[in-house]
Amino acid sequence: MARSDGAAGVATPPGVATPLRSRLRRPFGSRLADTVYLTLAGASAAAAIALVAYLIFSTARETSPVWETFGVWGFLTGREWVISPPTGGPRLGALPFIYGTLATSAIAMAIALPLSVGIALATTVFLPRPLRRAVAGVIDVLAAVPSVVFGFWAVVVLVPWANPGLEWIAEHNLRFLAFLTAVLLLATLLSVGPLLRPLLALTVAGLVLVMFLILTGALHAPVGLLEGPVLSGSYMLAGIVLAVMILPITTAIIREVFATVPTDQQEAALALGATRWEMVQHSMIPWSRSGIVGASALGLGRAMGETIALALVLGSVPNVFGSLLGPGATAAGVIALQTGEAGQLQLAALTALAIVLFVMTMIINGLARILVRRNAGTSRRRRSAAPTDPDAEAAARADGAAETAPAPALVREGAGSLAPVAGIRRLRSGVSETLIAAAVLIGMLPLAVLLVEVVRNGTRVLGASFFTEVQPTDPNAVAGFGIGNALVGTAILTGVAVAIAAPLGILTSLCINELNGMGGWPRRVGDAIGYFVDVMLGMPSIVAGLAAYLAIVIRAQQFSAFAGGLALAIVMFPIVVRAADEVLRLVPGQQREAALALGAPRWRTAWSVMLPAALPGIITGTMLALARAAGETAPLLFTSLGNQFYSTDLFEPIAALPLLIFKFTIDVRTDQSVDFAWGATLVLIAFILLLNLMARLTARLIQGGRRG
Amino acid sequence: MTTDGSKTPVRVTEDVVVAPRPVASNEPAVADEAGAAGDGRDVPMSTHGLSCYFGSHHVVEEVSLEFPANSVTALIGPSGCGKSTLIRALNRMHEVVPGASTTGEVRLHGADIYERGADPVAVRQAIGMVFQRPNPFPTKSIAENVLSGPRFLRMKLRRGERDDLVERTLRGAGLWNEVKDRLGAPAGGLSGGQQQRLCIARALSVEPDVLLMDEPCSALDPQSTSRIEDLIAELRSRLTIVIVTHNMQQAARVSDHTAFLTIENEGEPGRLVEFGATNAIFSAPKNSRTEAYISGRFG
Repeated sequence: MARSDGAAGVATPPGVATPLRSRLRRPFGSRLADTVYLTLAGASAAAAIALVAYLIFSTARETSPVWETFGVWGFLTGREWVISPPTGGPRLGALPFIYGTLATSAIAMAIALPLSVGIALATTVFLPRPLRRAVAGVIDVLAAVPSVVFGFWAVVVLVPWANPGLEWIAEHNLRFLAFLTAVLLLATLLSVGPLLRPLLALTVAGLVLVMFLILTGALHAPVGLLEGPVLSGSYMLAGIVLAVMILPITTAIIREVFATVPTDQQEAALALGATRWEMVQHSMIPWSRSGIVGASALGLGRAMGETIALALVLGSVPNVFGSLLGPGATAAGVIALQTGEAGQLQLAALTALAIVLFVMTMIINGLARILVRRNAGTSRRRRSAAPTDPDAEAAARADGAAETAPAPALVREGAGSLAPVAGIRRLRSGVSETLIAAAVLIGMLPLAVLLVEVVRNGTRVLGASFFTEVQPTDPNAVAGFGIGNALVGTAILTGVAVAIAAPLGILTSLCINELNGMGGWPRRVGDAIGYFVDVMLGMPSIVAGLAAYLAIVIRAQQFSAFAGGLALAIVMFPIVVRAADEVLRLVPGQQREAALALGAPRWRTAWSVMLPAALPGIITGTMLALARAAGETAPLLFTSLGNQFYSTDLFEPIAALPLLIFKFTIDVRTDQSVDFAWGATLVLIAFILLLNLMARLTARLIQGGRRG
Repeated sequence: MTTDGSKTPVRVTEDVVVAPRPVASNEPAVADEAGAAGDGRDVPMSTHGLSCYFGSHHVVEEVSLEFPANSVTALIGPSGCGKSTLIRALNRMHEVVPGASTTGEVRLHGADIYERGADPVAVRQAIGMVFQRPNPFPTKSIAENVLSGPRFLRMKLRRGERDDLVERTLRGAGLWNEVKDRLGAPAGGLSGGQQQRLCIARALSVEPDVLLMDEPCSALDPQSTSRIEDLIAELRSRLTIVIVTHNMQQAARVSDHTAFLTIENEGEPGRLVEFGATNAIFSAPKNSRTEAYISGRFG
C-alpha cells in the first residue's frame, strides 16, 4: 500500500499528490509495531519447526550404525534382540517390538472401538439429556489419568487379580471356547444389523483370521495365541489397559462425528416410524462412517505411542509372534526400559526403533485425519447439495402429466394400531439399547475402580511430612520419607515447559491465523505449519524424550531439569497451538474486519480483538496441556532422570512425581513401598484432576462474566 | 385440559384489540360450510384442546380441530404463531425437540396418539410427514429411499414386489418418469424439487392414513412448487393431508379447509382463530383478524 511512491508519484501532479500521499502514510512507529508483531509470530513458528526438525535430524543421524550393521530390511525383519550373545556381535531386530506394538494395539482397538461407539451413541441419542453430559464428562476425566498411574495400578492390582483367570484359559486348551466366542460375536454383530457395513466385512475377515491363528497355533511360532505359561504381565492384559487409555479419545472423536449428523436426517427416519435404533442405523451411521474409521485410526495412532503403562505391564521381553498370554514388549516400552543403560549399537538400534514407531504413527495419524476431514467435508457438501435445475423440472413436468396415481395396494400390518412395535424390531431395539447401556457401564467401570483404590490405599500414608520429606531409598524403610523433592521437581519441570511452550504456542497459532487471513501462498504456508503441528501432536512422547536425550543430554554430558522441561515443552507445544488455533478460528471474521476497517494495525487487532475473544479457550487449552505434561513420564526418563534429593538447579538432574511412581513400580516392591507409591499416585491424580477442573471452570467463569 | 362446556366451535368477534380466546373448547372446530357436512363424515384425525410447550414456554394453546378424510387442510398464520409446532405435534415429532411437551389429545380413528401405551414409532407410521427442507437419505439410492419405510416396518417383500412398490410409489409422487432410469443413483444428486417429491414418495411408501406437510415448498423454486401442488391435488383422493404454508395463494389453491392461527401479543401462545372451508375463509372471513391477515394488513 505504501509502496506506490515511485512510478505512480511521477504521473500525478506534485501539488495534489504530496499531502494526500503523506496522509495515506502510516507513522513509522505503527509500521514498526506491525513488523515486530508479524516477525515475532513468524519467528516462533519457525523456531518451533526448526527445533523439532533439528531434534529429528540429530536423532536420525544416531541410527547410522544400525543400517550399516544390519541393513534396513534386516533390522525391520530381524526376529532376535540379543545384546551380548556368547559368540559374535549383538543381533538386534525390530520385529518382536513391531509385533508387540501391533498386538497390544489390536487388542486395545477390538475392546475400545465397540465401547466407544456405544458410549458415543448413548451420550448423543439414548441417554436422558441430563445424563449425557455427565457420562461424557466422566469419560473425559479418564483421559486425564496419567499413563504411569494406569501402569502402576495394572502391575499392583490388575495382574495379580487377572492372572489366575488367564492361567485357567491357558491350561484348558480353550480353542473350542475361543471359536465359540468368535461365532457368538459374529452372530451379535449380524443381529445388531448392518452397523458399519464396510467395517463389518473387515471385522469378519479379522475374526476369521484370529480363529485361524488360534486353531493352527500362531503362524510358525511354537505356541498358540492363547497358551501359557502365564507369568507376570501379558499382551492380553497390556491390551486391556491400553483399551481403557484410548477409550476417551476415540469416544470424544466419535461423539463429534455423530454431532455433525444434521437434525433433518434424524427426523426423516423418525417421521417414517423408525425406532431410535433404526434411526441410528439408517441416518446416523451412514453419515458418519468415514469419521468413525478415522476416529479409530487416531485411537490406533495413540495406542501405538503409549509407553509407560505398557512398559510396566509388559516388560521388555522380545517375544515375536508369541502367545497373547505371554510376556512381550512394545517398541515404545523397550525404548523406555533400555535406553538408560544401552551401549552404543543398542542405543542406535533403540533410536532406529523410535524412528520406525514415529513413521508408523505418522502414517496412521495422517490417514485418520484425511478420513475425519473427509467426513466433515462430505457433511458440508451434502448439506449444500440441493441443486435445482428448472429446465429438467420443466421437461419432467410434461412427462409427469401422463403419470397416474394408482390405487393403494399395500396394506400395513396392524394398520391403525398405535401399540408399541413388537417382534423382531422390538427385539433388535432392545438388544442394541441393552448393549449400549452395557458399554456405558463398562466404560465407567475403570475410572470408578481406579479412583476407589487410589483413594482407599493412598490416604494411608498421607501426612504433613509426606509432602515435605525427600523420597526413600530403601523399599523396606519408607516411614518418615515423603515426596517433597518430587513435588518441587514437577513444579520446576512444568514451569520450564509452560515458559517455553505457552508463548511459542500462542504466537504460532497467531501466525497460522494471520497467514490464513491472507489467502494465496501464505495460506498454504499456514496450512503447512498446521500440518506440522498435527504431526507433533501425534508424536509419541517417548520419541520426544529420546530426541532430547540424544540432542542435549549426551552432548552436554549431563542429565538436567532443563532437558526434561524442553522434552515436556515438545509435548505441550502442539496442544497449546491446536487449542489456541481452534478458538482463534471461532472469532467471527466480521469482528476482525471491523477492527481493520477502523484502521487498526494488525498487532492491535490481534491484541485487542483476537486475543481477548480467544482468551478463555487459550487459558483452558494451556492448562489442559499443563495437566498432561505434569503426568508425563516418558519424556523425563532420560532427560531429568530423577533425583532423590531436593534440587532446584536447572542444570542438574531433578525429581518428578511420575518418575517416582515409575521407579517404585519397577524396583523391588514391598508392602511398604507399594503403599508409599499409592500415596504419591493419589497426590498426582488429585493434582491433575484439580488442574483439569480449574481449566474448565476458568473458561466457564470468563465466558459467564462476559455474558452477564 | 379444561371443559368449559362451550358448544360454539368458533366464536365470532369483531373486537380486534382484545379478542377473547377464540377456541377453547374440547369440541373440535368443525368446518361447517357447504361441501363438508357436519355429522357422519369420515374424520380420521382430530385434535382436542391440544397445547404445545417448549419447556415452560407455551407455544400453542388449546387447539381443537377436525381433519376430514380425503381433503386438504391448510394451517395458515403469521410467523411464530405455532403452526409448525402444531403440525409436528400431530405425529409426535414435537417431542423429539429437547424440553418439548404437549397436553390435550390428538385422535386418530378415535384413539389418542398421546395416551399411555401409544408408541410414537407406531404413530409416525400411521401419520407420515414431509419437512420444510427436502431430507432424503443422501447416501442411499433413490429406490432405497423409497424402501426405507417398508424396511423399518420389516415388511417381507420379494424382489418383484419391491420393484413394484418402488414404481407404484414413485408414480404416485409424480417422480417415476424422471428417475426410472437411475433408481440406483444416490438421492443426493436429485434437484431440490425432485428430492422433495422423493421425500413425499418415501412418506407414502408405508401408506399412511394422514400426511403432514410442513411448508413443503418453502425451499423450492416456483416450478417445483407448482409440481408439488399438482401432486397434492392428486393425493387428496386417497389421503388426508394437513399442510402448513406461509403462502396464502398456495393455501387457496390446494386446500379444502383452512385454519387460521395467530398470536395476539408478544409472548402469548398461538391460538386458533377461525376454521372453515377455504373458499369461505378467503372470500368472507368471519373474524376481523383473519380478514386482516388474508388481505395482507398484518402478519
